[in-house]
Amino acid sequence: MGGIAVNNPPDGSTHDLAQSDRGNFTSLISEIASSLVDVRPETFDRVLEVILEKVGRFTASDGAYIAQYGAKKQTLPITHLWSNKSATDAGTLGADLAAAHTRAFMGELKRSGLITLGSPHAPSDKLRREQMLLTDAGIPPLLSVPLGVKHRCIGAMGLFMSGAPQAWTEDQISLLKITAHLVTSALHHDRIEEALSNERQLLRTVIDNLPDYIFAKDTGSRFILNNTAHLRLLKASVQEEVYGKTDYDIFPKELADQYFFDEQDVIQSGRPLVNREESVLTEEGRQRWLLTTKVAWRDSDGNPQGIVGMSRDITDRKEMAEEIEKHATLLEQANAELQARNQELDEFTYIASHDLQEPLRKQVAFSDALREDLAAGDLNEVENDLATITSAAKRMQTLVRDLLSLSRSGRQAMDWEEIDLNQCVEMALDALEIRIEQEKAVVTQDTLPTVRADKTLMVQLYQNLIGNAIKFHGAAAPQIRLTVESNAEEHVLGVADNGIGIKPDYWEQIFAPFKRLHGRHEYEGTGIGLAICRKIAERHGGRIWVESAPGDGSYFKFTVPVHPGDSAI
Amino acid sequence: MTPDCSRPAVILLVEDDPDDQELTKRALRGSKLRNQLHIVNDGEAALDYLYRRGEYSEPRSAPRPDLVLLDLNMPKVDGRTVLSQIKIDPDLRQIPVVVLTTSSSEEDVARSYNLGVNSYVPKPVHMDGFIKAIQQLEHYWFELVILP
Repeated sequence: MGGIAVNNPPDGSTHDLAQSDRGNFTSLISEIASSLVDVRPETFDRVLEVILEKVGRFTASDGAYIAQYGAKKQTLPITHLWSNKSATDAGTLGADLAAAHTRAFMGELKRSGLITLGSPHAPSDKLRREQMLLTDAGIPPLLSVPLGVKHRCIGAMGLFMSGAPQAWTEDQISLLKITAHLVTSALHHDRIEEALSNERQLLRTVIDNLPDYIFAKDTGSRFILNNTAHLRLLKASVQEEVYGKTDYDIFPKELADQYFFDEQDVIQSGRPLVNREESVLTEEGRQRWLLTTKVAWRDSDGNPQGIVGMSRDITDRKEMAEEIEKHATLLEQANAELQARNQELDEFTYIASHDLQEPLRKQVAFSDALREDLAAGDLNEVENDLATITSAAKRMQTLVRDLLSLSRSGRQAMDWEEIDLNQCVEMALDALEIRIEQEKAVVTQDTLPTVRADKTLMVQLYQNLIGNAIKFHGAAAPQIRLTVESNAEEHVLGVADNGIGIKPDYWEQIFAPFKRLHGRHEYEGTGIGLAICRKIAERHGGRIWVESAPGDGSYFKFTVPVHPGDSAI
Repeated sequence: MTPDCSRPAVILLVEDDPDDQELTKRALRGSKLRNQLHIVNDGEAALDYLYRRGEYSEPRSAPRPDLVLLDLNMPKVDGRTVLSQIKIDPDLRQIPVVVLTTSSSEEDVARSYNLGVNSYVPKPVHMDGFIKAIQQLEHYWFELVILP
C-alpha cells in the first residue's frame, strides 16, 4: 500500500485526512498495536471494542464491527460492535450485519481481500442480495476486510455508514487493513494461548488423576512439576510448596544422593532408568516400595531440560507376594509335618502288625504245646510252656506300655520352661539307682547348662540314654560321662560309656522304633528307648546321633537349641 | 545234593526268637525224618556258619546244611541279607532256603521269591498248623524232590 492517497468521492464529500491528521493516523496505529501487546484474556474483548470505536471515529464511520467464525465455521456471529447509534439498536444492527455475511460474501471477501458495498462503483452483481439486506437495514455503504492469515480466514472486520451510498477513501481502507492485520495477530495469539491452556489443563487433569506418582525436575534435579498423588506423598498440598526443592530437602542424604546421581546420569546419557525398585520411609515410618522409571526430558532442539519421573507404589503387591510366599512356606511345613505324622502312623501300623502279634502268636502256639504236654503227662514241659506263655504276655504288656510312651512323647503338649539340666540328670539317676548299684556303674558329669525345654521329657531322655549305657556294658563296670559343649546356637549334650559299642551300620537304625540289635536272650528290652530319645530331641528342635566303635563304647549326643524357635514341634 | 540215607539231614535254623526255636524243635521232633538241627541266633551268625568263620571254623561243628530255615526279621543282619548272600554265592545257592516268618506282607513275599527263595512259609498261629507245615516241608524236600 503506497502512502495515503486522496480520493475524491463522486458526491463531493471527503474522508481524506487533513495534513494535521497524518500524525494522528500514525499514532492511532501505534496506539492500537500497543493496546494489543500483552493483552490479558479477560480484557481482550474490551480492548477490541475500544479499537473499533477509535477506528470508527477516526474514519468518521457510523459503526465498526468484527465477525468471527464459530466452531467448525457453522456460524459467523458479530462478536464485537461499535456504533454511534443508540445502544438499543445495537442488537438489530448486529443481526442485520451478520445476515449480510453470507457464504457468498465471505467467499468473495477471501478471494478479493476487500469488499465495498453501497458505494457508487459497486463491484459486481454477485452480492446484490447482501446489498439489499444492508440497504433495508439502513446501512448501505459497507467496507469489509478479512481477518486471518493467508488461507485461514477466521472472520471479517469492517466499517459502515448509514445513509447514502458513498465511496471509501484509501486512508479508510488502509487503516482498516492495518487494524485487521493487528487484530488478526492478537486473535491468533489469543487462540494459541487458549489452546495451550486447554492442553495444559487436559494434561494436568490426566496426571492429577493417575494413582502413580508423576514428577518432572530440571537439570539441577529441582522439582518443577508434581502430580497430586506425588504432592500427597511429599506431604504437600499445592505445587508451590515443592517447586524448586530438591530431594535433599525431603529425603535423608544417602537416599537423595542416590536419586541425584541417578538423575544426572539419565540427563547426561539420555538413557532412561527403567523400573528401579526403591524403598522409601513415609513420615509415619512405614516402609513403601516404589517402582520408578526416569526418562530424560529434552526440548525440541535436543537440549537437556531435566527428567520426567514415574513411580508406582508396589508395596501392596510386594506385601501380597510376601504373604503368599509365607503361606506357601507354612503350607510346606504343614505338609512336611503331615508326611512325618503319616510315616509315623505307618510305623505304628507295622509295629502293631508285627511286634504286637509276636507274643500273641507265642501264647496261642504254646497253649497248643501245653495241651499236648498235659496229655502226655510231661510235667517239666508243662512248666516250660506256662513260663513261655507268661513271659509272652508280659512282653506284650511291656510293648503296649512302651508304644503308649512313644506316642505320648510325640503328642503330649510341651511344657516349655527354663530348666537346669543338672537337676534333670539327678532325677534320672534317682530312677536308675538300683541298676546303678547292681552294675556298680560310675557316673561323672560336666556342669550342665540351663536350657529352655520340657523337664519331664528331658529327664526321660537322660534316663533312657544312661539306662542304655548301663545295660550294654562290656566286661568292665560301666563308666558313664555326661558332657556338654555349647556354641552360640546350641548345646551339644553327650552321654559317653565304655560299653560294647555299636557298628557304624546300625548308627541310624537304632533310633527306629522296636529296632533291636540283640536277641532277647542277650539283652532285655523292646527297642523303643532310643526311638523315644529321638522324638524328644526333635520336639525340642534338636538332633540326636551316636558315635561309636564296637568294643570301644558309645557316645550318644543330642542338641538343644539355645533359642528354641520355629524348629521345635 | 541228595541226602544220603545213612546220615541224618542237616537243617540250619536261623532264628533269633528262643520261643520260635523251641517250636521248630518240637515240630521236627515229631517228624519221621532223622535230622540234625543247628540253630544260630541271627543273620551274622548264619553267614559265619555257612562260611565257616569265627566259632564255626571247625567243619565238624558246622556241617553243610541240606536245608536252611530262615527267619526274615532279625536284629543285626536280617534274613533278607542272608538270603541274598546265599543266592549270589555259586557254592551256597544250591542249598534250598525256606523262609519262616510272621511277615506276610506282599512286599516281603515278592522280594523273597525274587531272591530265589525255594519256599515261603508264614509261621502259623497254631502249633499243629506249624508242625504240619514243617513236616510237609521235610516230606517235600527230602522225599519227593530231586534236589539239584
